[in-house]
This record gives sequence, structure tokens and C-alpha cells, in this order.
Amino acid sequence: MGDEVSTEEQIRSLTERLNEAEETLRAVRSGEIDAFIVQGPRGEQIFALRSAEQPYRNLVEDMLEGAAILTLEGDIAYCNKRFAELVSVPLEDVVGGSMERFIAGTDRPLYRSLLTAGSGKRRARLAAADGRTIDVLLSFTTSMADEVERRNLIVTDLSELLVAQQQSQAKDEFMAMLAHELRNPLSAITAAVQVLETAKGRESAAARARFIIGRQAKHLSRLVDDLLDVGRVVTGKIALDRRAIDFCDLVRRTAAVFTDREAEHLFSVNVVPAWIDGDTVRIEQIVSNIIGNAVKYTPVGGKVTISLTVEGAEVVLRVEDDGFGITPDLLPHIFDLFVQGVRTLDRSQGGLGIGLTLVRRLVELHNGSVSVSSDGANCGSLFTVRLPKVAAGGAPGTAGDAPRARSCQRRVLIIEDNRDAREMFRMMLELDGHQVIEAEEGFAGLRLLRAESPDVAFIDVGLPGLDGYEIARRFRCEAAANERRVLLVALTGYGTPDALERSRRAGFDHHLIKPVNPEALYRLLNAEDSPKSRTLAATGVAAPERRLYNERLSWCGVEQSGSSSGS
Amino acid sequence: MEYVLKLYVTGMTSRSTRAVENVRAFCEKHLEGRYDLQVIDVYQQPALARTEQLIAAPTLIKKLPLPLRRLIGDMSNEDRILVGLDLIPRT
Repeated sequence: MGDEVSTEEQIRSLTERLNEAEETLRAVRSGEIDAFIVQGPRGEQIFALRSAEQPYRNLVEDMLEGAAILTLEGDIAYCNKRFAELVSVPLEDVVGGSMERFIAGTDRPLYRSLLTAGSGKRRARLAAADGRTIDVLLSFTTSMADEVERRNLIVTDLSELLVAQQQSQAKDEFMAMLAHELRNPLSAITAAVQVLETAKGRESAAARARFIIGRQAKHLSRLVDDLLDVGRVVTGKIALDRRAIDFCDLVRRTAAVFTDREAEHLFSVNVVPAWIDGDTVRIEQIVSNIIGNAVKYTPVGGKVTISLTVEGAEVVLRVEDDGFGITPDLLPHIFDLFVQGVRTLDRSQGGLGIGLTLVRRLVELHNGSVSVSSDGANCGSLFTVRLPKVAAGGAPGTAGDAPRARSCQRRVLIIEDNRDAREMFRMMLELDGHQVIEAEEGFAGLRLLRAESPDVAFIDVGLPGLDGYEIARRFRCEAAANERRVLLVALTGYGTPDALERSRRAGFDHHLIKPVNPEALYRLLNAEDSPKSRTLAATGVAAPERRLYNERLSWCGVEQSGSSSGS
Repeated sequence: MEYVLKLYVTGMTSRSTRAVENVRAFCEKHLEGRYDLQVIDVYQQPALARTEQLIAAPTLIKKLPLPLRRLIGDMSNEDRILVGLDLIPRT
């Protein structure tokens, strides 16, 4: 009986194994398997079909890291495409050679210890065949294949990461410095205001306080301008409005700003007649930055020598000082963003470390070059700007300071919600002899604009109620048939091309950026006297249209030609 | 009755990944709430594969309930799995 059961059991077991074998054969025949597993004396081996390896191959070949398999001696047995790219050697020339030749000399001991250890991660520098040095992370692991020990190496390019880290750090430092730079003039202004309040009857103290407020406010404006400019320089969004410029006159005028102001230094200015093709505003910026820099880094009583010469096809401006100089380690980086020399304790002449970056970029945009030399600390420095020479142009001194005549009286409407700004603006205009009415919110402003029909309306764009753009739009819409046209001027803190375009579309004639430049304001109010510019205003040709990318000139936008036709 | 299943695959190769999908779907449909499925990569865990006397991959093994059953292939035929796991009798 027991035997029978056993036999029956055996048959059942055999049948099952037969079924299983049949199933296996069927699966193999119909291509349902990826790999065979074969038992060998040292465990099982997996024999994958070709397709089975493909995903791993793709993984390694397509990854952004370099991968290589090395012998224990450090010869490359295999590498992926990315590895060959990193070391700049054709794939076929990499395999078989030594890995060490791609490691920068000083990092070779480190590499060798990793190779010996067979496991670990270290930062090192790769010496590519094209001469580049690349910061990388080397990750070593070890594996056995067919009883042979190999080193697996993954090479991760850290360049982008490191650059990003450096930028982020530079940005942090910059923000800290910016806060400091903004606080300095603000505290000077605050103190000066305090002096004004308590200095009743002491005119000299009050005059000094006013002078300081003016100077520090100008300094603040310049910081903000630089900030705006540097953004555009970095993104390459500066468009030049080129024309023939009397460079000699420009240098003389720009230098005069400093010689008038900085009685603390000895200036020597030697210029010869020279013309260049450039954007007046930008060239002024270049010259003023370089002279300003010399002044900033030269102690009181020091000498600043400005010379302009013509050398062959080039106009050469040299600004030399006998000041703090530049140390050899700083010299190669002096034109880099956010780089500054050692600062004086009080930082009275502080800046953002972006002036020279602006200078270099602007000079390059003008097809010129700028260079610097210095014999080291306290040996002064020499900046040389070279620009292509052009033939003398028309009327010299196009951008010169016009002698300030008494302005004609205008009826001016101010629509501005900030009380202090409105009050100061009003005082400024009234002192200049104009008749001023004001509104502090949009609807009231529009009513006044309709009822009073002033000569000029300054409208802050960000207003409660009706915003400035809407006021301009509505007013322009209604007043289209009016013969007498009100000059509409947008007041805004934004100088981007978008902001200018938006003002233009709303129907503004001009776009003034806060803080309003008194000189630009004066020119704007007075240019309306001439019949030509009267036509200009009446035809609605706004400065922003011409100089969309340069809000500085749009400040004083009335100096344009009358060539454009109106709406 | 609790089913203990082990699926042996060779990494992310096409039939192996297909087998994983098919077995998961099968279990959810026929064994919902009463199965325990482990997926084992024979590359990563060769020691686990050793004891199973595997011939090819993918292989699905029913450990419990007894008797032990092996199925080879990408598990694309639902009926064959039903038979292989003794869920319906062999014809």
C-alpha cells in the first residue's frame, strides 16, 4: 500500500517536472526570457541576451558624468563618450592609455592613493588635452569581473557648480556691501537734516548741511544708476546712440566736474582736438568713471593727470594718479564685477565695485580697449582708454551745458501721491518761476487736468484711484481734437525699456525717472519755447521712442531732432 | 489563503520589467489582499538566486501555498499563470 502511494507520488512529481520543463522550453522558444542562469563550480553565472545589457550600456553612455574602468595599474580599459569629451581626446585614443596623464600634476599623489585604496571620493583637477584644467569629483569603486579586479571611476564636472557657488557668494557679499553703501549717504542726509533744524540763524552750518544733502543724494542716485546699468551690461542690453563726438570737449567738461568739486586734489588736464564715434552719455560715463576712480583711490593732496592724445588711428585717454595703486594680485581682476581695492575706513567715496566693469564693457561696445597698469601698492595707477578716431564732426560740444537762462513761466500740474516728493517738486518749480497746481490722487488729477489745461503735467504713474497711465490715456482720448496740447510727463522709478514703452503707449510725451534730474527738468520746461520743439511736443513724438534703451537721455528728451513725424 | 510569490528578474531588461508589470496586475486582479510578492534582481542579489535553482529569467516562483511552482517567461498569458499557480485545475 505504502509503495503504491510512493509510486503514485513519484509519477505526480515527474509529471510536474515534465510540465515545468515544457513550460521552460515554451518560454524560451517564444522569446519570453532575458537571461539564462548557469550553475558553475563557483556559483551561478548569468548569460544575458544582448538586449539585456542595453539599458545599462545606455545608462553609462548617456550620462553626464565621465565613466571609466581602470586596471589596478591605472590604465583605462573602458571609458564612456562623456569621459573622452572631458579630457578632449578622441574616444579611440583614450582606451589603453594611462589615466594619470589626465590628472593635473599636483593632484597626482591624491589620485594614486585613491587608485590604490579602490574606493572613495575626492575633488581634483583634470588636465584636459586641450590645456584646460577642469575641477572634478573623482569617485572610485572596485568590482570583480571574470576573477579580475577593476577600478570603476566616475568623473563629475564641477565647473558649473563652482561657478554658481562663487556667483552666489559674490552676490551675497554684494548685497551686504550695497546695504552699507546705501546706509552711508542716508545717515549723512539724516544728520544734515538734523543740522538744518537746529542751525537756525547759523547760515554757514545750514549751507554746509544743504551741500551735504545735495552731494549725498546725488551719490545715492549714482549708485542706483550704476545698479540699473550693470544689470543691462551683464545681460548685454545696452544699445548705443552713436554720433560724432568732440572727445576733447567731452573730456574737458567731464574733468571740470571733478576739478570744480574736488579741490582736494591737484589736477592736470592736457587735451588735443580729437573726435570719436560714440554715444555721448556712455562716453561721459566711461570718462567720469575713470577719473572718479582715480580721485577715489588717491589721498588728499595727490595728483591726477588726465591726458588726451591721438596715436595713429586711435584716440588715447590716459588718467594717471599717484594714489593707492593696485596690488599685483588684484591687477588682473580689476575690471571684474564687484572687485574693489582696499577701502578706506570711512568709505566716504565708496562705490559698488561695478564702475570699471561698466567702463570695460562700454569701451568694448565702442570698439575700443581699456587697460591698466600699476607698480603696486601706493605707486599710483594708470588707466588707458583707446578708441577709434573719426573725422571732426559738426557743431562741437553738442552735449555741453547750456548757459542757464531764466526760464519762462509755465502752468504746471503735479499729480503725485507722495506728499514730500510733491511738496519738494512744487518748491523746485515755483523757485524756477512756474505756477503750480497739484493733486494727490488720480481722479482729482484728471479733473484738474481737464479743467485747467496746464502747459505741462507731471504725473506719477503709480497713483491711488486712477493710475498715471490711465490718466494719460483718458485725457489723450478726449483731448484728441483740442488744438492746444498739454505736455504729459510720466514720473516713475522704472527705467526699463518696457516701462518706457508703456508710457509712450499711454500717450506720455516724456518719461522722467525719479529722482528727477533738475537739469533735465529745466531743459524740458524751456525747450518748449522753441517753435521746433513745440511742434515736436504737439506731434507727440516722445523721447522714449527714439531712445528706448536709454532712460538717461530720455530724461532730457527734448534735445532730439524734429525728423520724426507725429501721430 | 496567503500566496507568497517571488519574481526573479535581470534588472531593468525589457522582459523582466514586463514580467513585473504583468505579475503585479495579475495579483491585484486574482489575489487581491492575499499575496506577498517580492521582486529579486539576480544581478544585485545572486545569493538569493542560488538557492532557487534558476534556469532562466524572468522566473516566478510560488513558495506558498505548496506545492512549489515555477513559471518562466514574461507572464503575459493570464490563463497560463492561473494554471501555473494552481488557481484553476490543469486540463
